[in-house]
Amino acid sequence: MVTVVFAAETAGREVFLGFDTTLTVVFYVLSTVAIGIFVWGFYRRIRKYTRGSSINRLDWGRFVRALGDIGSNRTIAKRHRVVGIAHFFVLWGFIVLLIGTTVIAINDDIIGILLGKPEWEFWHGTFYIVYAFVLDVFGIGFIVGLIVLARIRRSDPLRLDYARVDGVEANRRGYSLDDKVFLGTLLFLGVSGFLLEGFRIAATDFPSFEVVSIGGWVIALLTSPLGESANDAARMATWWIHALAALTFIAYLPYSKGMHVVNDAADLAFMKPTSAAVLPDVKDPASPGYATLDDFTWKDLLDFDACTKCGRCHEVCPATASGSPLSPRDLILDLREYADARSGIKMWYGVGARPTHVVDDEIPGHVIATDTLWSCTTCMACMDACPVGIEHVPTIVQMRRRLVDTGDVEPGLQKAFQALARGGNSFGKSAKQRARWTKTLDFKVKDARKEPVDYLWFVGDHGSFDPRATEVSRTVAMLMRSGGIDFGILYDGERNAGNDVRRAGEEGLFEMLRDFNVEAFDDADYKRMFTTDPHSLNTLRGEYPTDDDVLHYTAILDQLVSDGAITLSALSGKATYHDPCYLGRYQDEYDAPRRLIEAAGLELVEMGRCRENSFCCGAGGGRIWMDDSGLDERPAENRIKEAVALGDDVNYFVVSCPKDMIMYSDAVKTTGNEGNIEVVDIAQLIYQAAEVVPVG
Amino acid sequence: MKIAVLLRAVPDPVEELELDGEDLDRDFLGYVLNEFDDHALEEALLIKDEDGGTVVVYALGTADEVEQMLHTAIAKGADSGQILGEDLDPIDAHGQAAAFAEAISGEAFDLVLTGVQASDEIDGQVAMLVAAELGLPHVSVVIGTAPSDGAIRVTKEYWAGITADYDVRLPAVLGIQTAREAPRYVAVARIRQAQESGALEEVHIDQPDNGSGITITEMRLPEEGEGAQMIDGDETAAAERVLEILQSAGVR
Repeated sequence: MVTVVFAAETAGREVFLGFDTTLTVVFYVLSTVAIGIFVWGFYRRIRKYTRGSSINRLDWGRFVRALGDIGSNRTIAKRHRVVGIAHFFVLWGFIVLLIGTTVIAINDDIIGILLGKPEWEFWHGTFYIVYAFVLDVFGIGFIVGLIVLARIRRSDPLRLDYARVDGVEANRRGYSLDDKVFLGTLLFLGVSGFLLEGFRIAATDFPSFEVVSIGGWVIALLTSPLGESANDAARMATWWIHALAALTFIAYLPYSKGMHVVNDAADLAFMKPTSAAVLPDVKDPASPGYATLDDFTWKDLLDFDACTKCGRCHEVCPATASGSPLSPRDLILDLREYADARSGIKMWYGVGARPTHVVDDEIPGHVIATDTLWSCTTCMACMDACPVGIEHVPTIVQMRRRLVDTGDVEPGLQKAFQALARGGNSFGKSAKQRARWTKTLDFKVKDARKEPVDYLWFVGDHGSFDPRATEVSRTVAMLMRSGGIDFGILYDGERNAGNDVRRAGEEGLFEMLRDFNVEAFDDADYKRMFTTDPHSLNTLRGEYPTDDDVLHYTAILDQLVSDGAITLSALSGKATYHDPCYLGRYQDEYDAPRRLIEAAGLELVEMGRCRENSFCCGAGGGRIWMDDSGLDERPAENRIKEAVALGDDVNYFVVSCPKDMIMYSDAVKTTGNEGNIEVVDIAQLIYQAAEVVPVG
Repeated sequence: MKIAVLLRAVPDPVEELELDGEDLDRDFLGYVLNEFDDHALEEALLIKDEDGGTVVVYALGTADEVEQMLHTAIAKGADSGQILGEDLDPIDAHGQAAAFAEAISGEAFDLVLTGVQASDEIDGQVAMLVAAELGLPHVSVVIGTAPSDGAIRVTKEYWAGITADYDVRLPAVLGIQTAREAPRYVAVARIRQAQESGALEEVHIDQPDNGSGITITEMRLPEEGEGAQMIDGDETAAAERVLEILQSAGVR
């Protein structure tokens, strides 16, 4: 059918229609120059990455998943659906148009010129018709996608404001300019391509098969009144304009934001989603962490270049939101600028914005300020939001390791480290007092070192020592007992699990605490483990040499309720739930707490930032030990305001982490919301709703 | 400059203290570095950072934790250390000073630093007794030093925050109240490396005599009072209530 209608045997076109030999040669010379500039820039980038220190990221399963991520633009569409869809069209438009150009190069240049076999050429007939149609459809999608993205950019969302958060003077006009040039050039290429097609169709008297070139056909209908010769002149001019723009674009790519088309695909393929949950080991204990550029891995260096400055990390970061000097984006861009300056690489708009730092060898404390590094709560919101697979958290921890090694430690953190080294807890209490919270229970909690238990309960520091959190620990103990769970604790044999110590960069102390706990586990007789502390959960699961099955207490309570071992009478009212970073983003557990809240009879009202997008309380990564008085607004206060804004009828702010209990009960007071909302642990809620019968 | 720092292990205040008649019940006590000695060490390390030289740390072997304390000091930047004796019984200030003085007397130190006092030696005698044993000048309650050419300028704190600078000829003994900067942090991994460095030496000494001639006849825990009374209500009501209590107690 198609062949009859379109007279397919004659379908095709000449690339160099109306060119004499000189013009053709000029084009090939210019192409060679452009490709040469591209290859040189590309080579410089690759050489920069290969200078990075080694890290094994060969994971075929990940590569396959990355193909899905890249092809679907899923990571871009996450929480930004319109951007994701528009980018999808741009990406696929770009790929198809690139393939289209490559097809011509293979047909004309390789088969026609290099091999000298014109009889093998295939870019005509039915193939040409399908080709022309597909390219036009994708070309239209490409242009529409770009226009949508340009519109979003013009609406000037906060995340695209490149102002630094730390007040350091920096000229970032080059970044904004490059954004516009990149987007503008793509749009120009798309539009000029269609114009060229239109002029050509009008100049060649509308070959019937060209109707499949829908975009060009419409333009040709509009321009045909100018006459064939005017259209042909316009065709020639547009041909050169389009070609020169394309060649300039090729040359420009590795010196601009354009490099992201390669870098981001690679970064997504090589990223390791668990790299924050299971931190990299220290390579050389004599010189832990990242001191100079040589210590950064090739993946880190790739991360810096992968950043498109989309600002999503900047938007979700609790440190940024609270007015601290850290913005994950600033951090990555500073490191990029430094690495580029050190590698002698220049973007087309000049060197990075802070070239003065080029003289420093030492990065932590110099290129990246000490306060900036201590500001991170390791909540991992940045990594979750990043569409291109940048791993901010492990990089920050590596730099913290260096600060700790050189003794450059925040005073509150130093106090905590010293207390932890002495008594194994950050409260500066004697280890012997660790199980004192059990004394006011009307039953004795088993000592798992002395008698066998089903579950070893890892209580954690806050659940053992902080008055508000010990209250919750006692409630959990009563619930577990009434649900028939056979459990015990380690008494004075437990130490801080070390999750936050490790994230604060004190690897030696982490190892000390971990080894002590592992020895205590060896002495205890238990089948499985549970913990009331999500931070401990994370490190016990991923960073301990033990292969224990470790549960969060909400999973057990959820089981007890669904099995009917604990029966609940309905509470009334509405509750909102805060996902702890280390339970949600880190350990991917979101549903058991929600089921429990609903089982208690409460209506669950979600905050805007929930589940993977939960907003950190500000306590993680050792922040709970550091001074937060300098912040404009503590993250926990920001969060309580969000919860209160859900409405007067939301009575409960439900938490499932001891640090949350502490941070949010404080924040309710400091924001003057006492009486508006009550911070309760999920165990307290269940206890209220349960008909708990004291056993024994 | 060659500096000796004298470190003392004191009972860890984190533990619950129990009495055993004339002394603390030491069977289950933990020990930590005396806080003031930590400042003495920091001041010594600051001098070394600025002017170079060597720092040698000494401690009496009165507790298991002493070795760790000295390794920590070495990890922070001290060049070497000595544990004097092992499993020694508690020693009074005179005995400690005599033992320290004997250990350091052969070494030609320019400066000897120790804490102005210790939690179990609040009368602060060790620094001055060491100075007396060695016949050296001594300044106590020092809150900063500035060494210069065979002498040292030290800042001493008096009552009500008044300070005075002294120029002291070397060698000298200083009792440090606080270092110019907060004692530095040293990473656990570095302490581990110090343990393997072999910079710590154990020197045998006999149990020193208590030199003061004073013995404790009884040690008591603080007596618990009646407890506080909390006053509720706003400022006016609270003030009235306070007035009432004072008047009923006979205050006019």
